[in-house]
Amino acid sequence: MLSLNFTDELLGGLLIGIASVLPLVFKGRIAGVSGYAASALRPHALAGRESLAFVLGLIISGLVLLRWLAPASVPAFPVHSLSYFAVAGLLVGYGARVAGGCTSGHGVCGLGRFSVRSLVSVIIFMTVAMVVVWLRGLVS
Amino acid sequence: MNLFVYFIAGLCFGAGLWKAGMTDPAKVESFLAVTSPRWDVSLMVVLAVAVMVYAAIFFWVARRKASLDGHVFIAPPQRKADRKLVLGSVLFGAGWGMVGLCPGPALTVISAAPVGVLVFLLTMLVGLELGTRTAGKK
Repeated sequence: MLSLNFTDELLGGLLIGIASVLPLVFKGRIAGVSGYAASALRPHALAGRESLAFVLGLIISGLVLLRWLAPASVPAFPVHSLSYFAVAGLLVGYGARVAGGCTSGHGVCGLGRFSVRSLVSVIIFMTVAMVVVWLRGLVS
Repeated sequence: MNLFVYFIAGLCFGAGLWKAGMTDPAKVESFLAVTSPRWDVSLMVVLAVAVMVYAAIFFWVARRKASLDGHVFIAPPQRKADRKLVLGSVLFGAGWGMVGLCPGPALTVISAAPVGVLVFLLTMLVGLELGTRTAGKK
């Protein structure tokens, strides 16, 4: 159904934009979620602890919203075999790291500073994801 | 104080993903399903708003030439797209299209995630670490 009421999208985009730019404003750090998640695996370094704090913020926001405030908003997660999930996770993690960013790093922070590299990355990963969804529709 | 900024940023980011519908793989999938009659373009609005907010504040910080903690900030130079960027983006897009979760939403939903999504998260972290080692980043 086509809906032209984009209130949730506007508010969500605003929050994501502010959250992405906070570390830049206060600390001069440009990073996206895949960068934080990768760096959080090295908590002995200061950058790792900062990243871990960000990742914990993400997890706790989900905990508060999905478990306490709005349990009805827990999404219907897709059902696949565990090996399918494992392959997809590996592709997402490895791909994002090799590309130097994901939907937030290239998408928000990269496009937000008019980086051509990020634009190339976003066009490629969105196109590939769209093709994969189309192919999945063909086989199902 | 240092860590607090990052924690608040994470909280705000997760709330934004949730509000925008990015934590719902079905919504992401209907955004990616461009050939479907039920194609849902609304997530493009999310990206556009987030980019505009980021851009406005980025160029303000870049003009100040310093972040609020007093560190000199110089906008990083533009680098050309290379083979690693292309290869990584292809792999990332394939995984994203398979499940409809990218790293931010995947971490945000961890407390409500079924086993399959937990497996996705685990191998995503393995993939990130492998990427760190092979791509030679810190």
